[in-house]
Amino acid sequence: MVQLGGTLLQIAFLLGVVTLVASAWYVKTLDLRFYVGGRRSLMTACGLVLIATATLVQQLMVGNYALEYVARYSSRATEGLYKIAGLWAGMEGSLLFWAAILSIYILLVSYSNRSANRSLMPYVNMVFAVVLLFFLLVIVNFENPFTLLPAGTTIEARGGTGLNPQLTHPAMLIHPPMLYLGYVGFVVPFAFAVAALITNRLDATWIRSTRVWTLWPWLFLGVGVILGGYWAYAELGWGGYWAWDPVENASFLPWLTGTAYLHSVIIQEKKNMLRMWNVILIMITFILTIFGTYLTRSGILSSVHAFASTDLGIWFFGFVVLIIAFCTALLIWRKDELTSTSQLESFTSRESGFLFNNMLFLALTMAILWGTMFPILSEAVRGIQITVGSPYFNRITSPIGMLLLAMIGVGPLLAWRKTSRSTLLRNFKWPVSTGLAAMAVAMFLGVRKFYPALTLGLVVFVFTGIVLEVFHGVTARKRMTGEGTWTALLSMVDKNRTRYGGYIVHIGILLMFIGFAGRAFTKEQDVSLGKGESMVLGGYTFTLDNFYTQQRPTHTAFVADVAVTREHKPVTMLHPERRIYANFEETPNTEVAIYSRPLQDIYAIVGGMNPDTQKIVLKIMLNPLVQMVWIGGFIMMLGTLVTIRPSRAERKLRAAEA
Amino acid sequence: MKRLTPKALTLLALVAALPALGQGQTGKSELQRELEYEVMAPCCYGGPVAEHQSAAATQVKAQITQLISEGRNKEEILDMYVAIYGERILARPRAEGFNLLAYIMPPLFLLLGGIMVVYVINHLKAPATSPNAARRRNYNDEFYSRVEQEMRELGI
Repeated sequence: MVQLGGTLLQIAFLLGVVTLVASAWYVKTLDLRFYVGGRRSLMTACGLVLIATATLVQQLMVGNYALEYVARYSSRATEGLYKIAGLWAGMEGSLLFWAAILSIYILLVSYSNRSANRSLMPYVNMVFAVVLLFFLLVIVNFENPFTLLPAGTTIEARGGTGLNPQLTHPAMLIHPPMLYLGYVGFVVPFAFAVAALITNRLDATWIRSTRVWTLWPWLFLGVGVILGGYWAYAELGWGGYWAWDPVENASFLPWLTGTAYLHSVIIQEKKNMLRMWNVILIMITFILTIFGTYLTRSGILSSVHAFASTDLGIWFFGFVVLIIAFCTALLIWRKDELTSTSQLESFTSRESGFLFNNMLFLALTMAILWGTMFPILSEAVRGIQITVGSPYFNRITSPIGMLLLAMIGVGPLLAWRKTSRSTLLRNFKWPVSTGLAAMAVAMFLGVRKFYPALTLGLVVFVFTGIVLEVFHGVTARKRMTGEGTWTALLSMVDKNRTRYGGYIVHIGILLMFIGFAGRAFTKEQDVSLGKGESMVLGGYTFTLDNFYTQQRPTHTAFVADVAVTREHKPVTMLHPERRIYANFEETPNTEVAIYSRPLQDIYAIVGGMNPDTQKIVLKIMLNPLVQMVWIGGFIMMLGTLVTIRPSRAERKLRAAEA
Repeated sequence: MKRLTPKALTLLALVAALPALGQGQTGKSELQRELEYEVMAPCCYGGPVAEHQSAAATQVKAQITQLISEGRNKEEILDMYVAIYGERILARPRAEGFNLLAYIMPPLFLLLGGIMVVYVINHLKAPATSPNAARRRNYNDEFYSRVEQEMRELGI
């Protein structure tokens, strides 16, 4: 089986080469036999990659510790589903997982386009083949997960090292696959954009064809990012969910440009404008997915000198440069054809609003990318390693974030083409008034910090705008059709899912911003407590009732029983732990205890015990509004699903066509 | 169950070796909190000491408490850490010299973006279509319609 996996990947690599050669020959001769041959070899290569991936999963499940990868990322003690998580726990498995998801996308896109986009598909397949080939090249030559351990190696005898205990969390079963589904999925709109450029079919057809193929990866990436935050919050034990770590940033950047793209394609669909811009945006998004993989896999982030320490970094860097050069050449070639044929009438129009929104997304992307890369630049120029951490990112992203939040509200209040002065006044009157009032009330109630007060004002401004928009829509529909309020609302949403699904997504974002603002009011205390001793924080009393050691099958746990009371009434009992796993003795693991309420989380971490004083170290945090981040994320997901699902009329049309 | 090695026990004990942890009633002071987020854990520079779960981070936090109680201000405390560990200890580079670039560029991106949008809007108010582009598009549509027709006939 082990040899089979490696061999399948090698055959898949060769088939990838065949696809490229056949497709290139088709482009030169337009002989359709070569297109068909190329397509078949690509499909077969995808099938082989999937079988190879299944083989690795099977080896992880049965625990073949003769395989180096299985021995490093699984163990006899690793439980059920977490054995599968071994697939994305290491470099080799991650890259194979990337290729497997790409293969699934390729097969699905080919199937769904079996009788559509015929002139685009040969070029789409070529792009797919190049990307798949690159990953197979890297896997087969540098990061093969099917490498056997030398005979008699200790890891094999021990039955494997196992997953890092911090990865054994339910969110880790979903978070990486979601991220990968998002990352890899953007290859689809990118491939169609390239095909549209090559064939010079640059109207909105390719955008409409890839609408769903963009929304799904965007949703997956968003869910993946949020789940990563949830995992960090619940597992890592530092009390936050976003650390502006380069790996986090790498996943966030394509999401930002993807969001900009999802907004700007609306203009192309409605007005046939921004064609060049949309192509550039999806190219940037795709490049960022590869660049993100490069950043996190090359070792360059630890030090600029680590870049050349593995071949992988150089290959990824070369691939990124190649894509940028290819995209630039295509854009220059099609510059004239990408010129807009429609006119933009005014600055105060929804079209302009979308442009400003896009600019802010891009500025935010650039700012985060700059901060992420700055330590590398500093080391290269000055030879001095510096850190660019969360205080820097919070400072530079907050103003842009606030402008973006404002634009969420401004955009829908502007009319298409041109907004007259009277319409501007009418549309903005209530949202601005309620926003300002909310800010004033917040400051009156003691919110003295600038950004949280501004966030609240803007959230209310945007929310009022959405409510008024929906209210006017429902009222107009009721008047026209005589429907009841709920029927009118549901019909309205069903008829324009993009718009109203978008509003639901915006409401989710608003809740998330409220959650972000809550971080400014976190209260925390590190404390050393003996049995029976107490500390007070934010009106709660925390008493250490007990502290003991438990031997468990995989680890030793140091458990603290902390009673939480408020005004002498019991609130909850927290049981934070510190664990030491057999194979990871040098890195004790924190098990956080969280008591969640809609407005506030009580968060407790045990740091350890001083054997001399028999006191334990506790870190207690009161984290306000964290739940809003998760609820907001969930609503965002629902909104995207509303947008993705076709309307009743579209469903009927499809059924009739079938 | 395997017994803990002395190494693991030492590590656990080290984490707990806190010379000066506060027992305040309302949490940390604003200055303490700020500093704990501005100084990286010197063990691995993997996060600010406020968030890092390591003996080194715990010791730095305790030191900060001590230094604040001695009346040192924020800059003095940060200077002291830079002198010991170098610039890497700061979670945010100081806005001076080459590091100024880190702070100048993001607003510049915003400014350039704004200028670009204004330019694009003005440009789009009077779009110009190249006649060659229109001709190429028409030729192209005809060509690919024929290709698609051929594919359809062959069942591809």
